[in-house]
Amino acid sequence: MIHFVTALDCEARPLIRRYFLKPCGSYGRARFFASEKARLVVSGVGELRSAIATTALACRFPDSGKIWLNVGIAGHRDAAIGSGFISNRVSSDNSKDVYFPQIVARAPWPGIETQTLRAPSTNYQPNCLLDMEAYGFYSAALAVSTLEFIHVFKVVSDNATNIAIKTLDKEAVSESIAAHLEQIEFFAQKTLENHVIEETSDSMKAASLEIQSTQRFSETDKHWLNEKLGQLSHLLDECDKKDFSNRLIGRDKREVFDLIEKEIDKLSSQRLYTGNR
Amino acid sequence: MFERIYVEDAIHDHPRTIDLLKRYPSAEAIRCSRYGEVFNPKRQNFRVQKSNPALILAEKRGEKVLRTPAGYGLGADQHYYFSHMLNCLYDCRYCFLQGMYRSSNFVLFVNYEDFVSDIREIANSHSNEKCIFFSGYDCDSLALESLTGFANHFLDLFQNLPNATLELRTKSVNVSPLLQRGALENVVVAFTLSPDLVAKSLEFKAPTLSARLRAIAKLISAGWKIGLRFDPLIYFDNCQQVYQAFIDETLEQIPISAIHSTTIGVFRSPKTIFNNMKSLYPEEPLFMGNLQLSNGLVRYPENVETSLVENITKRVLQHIPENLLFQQK
Repeated sequence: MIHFVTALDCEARPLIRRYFLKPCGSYGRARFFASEKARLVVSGVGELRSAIATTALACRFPDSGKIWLNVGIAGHRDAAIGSGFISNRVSSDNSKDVYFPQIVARAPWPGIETQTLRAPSTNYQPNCLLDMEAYGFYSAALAVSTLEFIHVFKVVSDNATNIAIKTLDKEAVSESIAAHLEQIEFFAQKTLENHVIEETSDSMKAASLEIQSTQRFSETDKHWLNEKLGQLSHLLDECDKKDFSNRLIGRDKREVFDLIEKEIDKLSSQRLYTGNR
Repeated sequence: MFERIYVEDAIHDHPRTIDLLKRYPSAEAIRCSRYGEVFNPKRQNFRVQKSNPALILAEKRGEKVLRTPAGYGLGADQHYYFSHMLNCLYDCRYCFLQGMYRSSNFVLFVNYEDFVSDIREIANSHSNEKCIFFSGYDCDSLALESLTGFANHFLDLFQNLPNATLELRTKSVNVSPLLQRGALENVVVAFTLSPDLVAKSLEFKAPTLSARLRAIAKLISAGWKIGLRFDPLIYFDNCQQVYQAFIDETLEQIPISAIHSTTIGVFRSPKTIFNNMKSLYPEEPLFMGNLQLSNGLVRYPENVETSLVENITKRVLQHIPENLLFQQK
């Protein structure tokens, strides 16, 4: 699942088409779009709006297993209009802190610093993109993900010889982002391949729920039970999981804990062999 | 090898930085004020970064050479350790580094000169005592030698420090930098060794046991002193027999005269570090069963630990004299 954050409609349009995104509500000025593969929020311009929209998207879809991408336009001193960059350093004229996105998949674009400004500027710096959202997006996305899965992708919309801040060509913006869609998708997929998903098997989850429904469990007990059943999900084969789950049903709490602990002790010492993994 | 190299502002012009950046011209150089900006932030995933780590070039500030914790000695008067690098090329599942650091990017402290001067000062301040300096606590001493030139640089120092011994702790078979120069009496190349079964299950990306034994043989032929580190011992079904066979096989190949020291230690970890490791690898059986919390350390139950250590110790002592064996607690 990819989560996109864009500032403008014209930045969002190619992504909406690519992923068949449908409108699904709003939060203030932020407007949400979603499909099975991706979700998107159009935030409006500015660091704060981007942060609010990112947070709102995360609250609306609080499930895990996704990459967060801020896709948009930026200015650069001398890079050609339409060039794409991935941010390796995200700074702001509003904060001393700096973010360093960790790029674990090979990125199809060169890396660069993105500096987020409070107001539009043509004071281009060498080797630096100027935008108005990346820092706000990054700060907010960090609340729900990690540095490896939050990235900022920018297409150059203006440079020292093509200053276009006041007369934004929306069609040109959409086209320049559309030109990078294949690469955006490739990069997102490659990055997501690194995502570690921890899953407890269905039979274990069902057993956990049944045990908890018949006896009083403290929060600590519940945490312990879920952790241990997660471990057993990794240690037991599928049919053994069902057998073991059945053995837990109808026992009192202490017996359940004892049985689980003994089974984990036994299986974990067997599974250290490579051949048994 | 590296797609990204972070460069701390303070060492931007250091000759070692300039050299490294020249050697990796296609890597993106990214500036940072302090390495901690990249290495220490929360919301990072050590496991995910391990698939494509970056290099961070930094300056080591403050104390560079530290006393070892109690229970980590080798019988000298003074024991110190230092780390020119943080993090390791290998991916050993039992390693505390994965639970201690938030990032698996490599940090290389390029100011070797400052380490050298501190080590020299400490050795000179104990001129009538034997000092051992351990390297390879926060990294593998030799695995990235072609990148760091660490061993060559520090061997020059120890060549002229007769009361000091340097331990290079490693799993690397990259011993050519040592073979290209004469063996030094006061340098120990200490190999972490585990049975093949354990190495294959837990020491990912590290050379095989047989490759390590071949590297040891080469070093012995060239006159280098060897350290054998049977640490951590791992508990599993049938482990006693597996370890005994491994000890016999290993020690039969190594002449006693070449052994500087042998150490034994069981798998143990501070609680916080253990919990971090467990959450990074929830599917790892090593972190699941037969463990308990004792005095702030997660370790095997006392009866398991005692039996493992006693049996392995007994076996080791069938091959080497007692004065060469040290237990790590």
